[in-house]
Amino acid sequence: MVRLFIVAMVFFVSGVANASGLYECEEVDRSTWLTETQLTQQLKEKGWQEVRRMKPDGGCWEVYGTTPDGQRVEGYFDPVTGEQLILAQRGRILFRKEE
Amino acid sequence: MVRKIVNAPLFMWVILALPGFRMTSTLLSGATGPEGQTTEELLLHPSGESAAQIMVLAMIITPLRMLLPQNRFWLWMMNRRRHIGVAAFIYAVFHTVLYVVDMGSIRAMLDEFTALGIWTGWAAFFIFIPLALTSNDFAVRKLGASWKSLHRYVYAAALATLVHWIFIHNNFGPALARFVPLALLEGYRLWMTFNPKRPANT
Repeated sequence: MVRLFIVAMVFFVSGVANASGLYECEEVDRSTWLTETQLTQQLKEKGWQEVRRMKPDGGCWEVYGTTPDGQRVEGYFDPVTGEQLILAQRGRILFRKEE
Repeated sequence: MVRKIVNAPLFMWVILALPGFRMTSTLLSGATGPEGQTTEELLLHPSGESAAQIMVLAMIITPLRMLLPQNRFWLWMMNRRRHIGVAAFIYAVFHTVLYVVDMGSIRAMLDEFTALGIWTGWAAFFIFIPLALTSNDFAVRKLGASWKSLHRYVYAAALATLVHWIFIHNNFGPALARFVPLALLEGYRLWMTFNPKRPANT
């Protein structure tokens, strides 16, 4: 019984540990990516209050910032078009692009 | 001589303050992260992690005392358990202050308050407050038997901390690495409490 529990626990932990990135983007040549400045500019024009920082993750731009509604979020953006793909507030999904 | 140093209250405090020294130096240097994180953001995780780890440390003492009744280290720890709990609270205060500074506005904090990863953190923090305030000889005397039942709320705080940690990072691994040992030890403790091997004394 105890052994079964431990085995189940290990599978559970390792399974979930893999699922950290929130979104995967199609792989494209890095030279086609928007620069940080360009994406920041785009978001500011959409009314974002703050673009704190960004980093590439899962082939997308992962942006930390504050939306026009004042929500502190983590967002994934298409690196070429700058389209918003997913928005999460402390792990709570606020927006997900329809597939 | 060594015994005297080891048994001095200050000795325990210095050990418990060790993670804090590093955080303080980061804070004073105003260092920023490789991905452009601010100093507050950099310290947010380590401060919370220290709070959680030290809380777990305080909680595993009793089951380890049951498991290793002759062990002098855990007896030594048992005698300092309230200090350990208060240290966990101090790191939690630091963690909360960093969060508030990082968020920068009440509105932004209220907006995300209902996210599972956030309200559980607040819940753990607010449970910690009365526990820390009563972690002294005066309160122990004053509260008598109810001290123990009050301090059992640490289990609720631990559960809230676990959920907070998992959901804030979207990641089970690191949080479970700390909490699974605690759960196993608590399981052992409960099992021992309900199935005592010792023959009845009557």
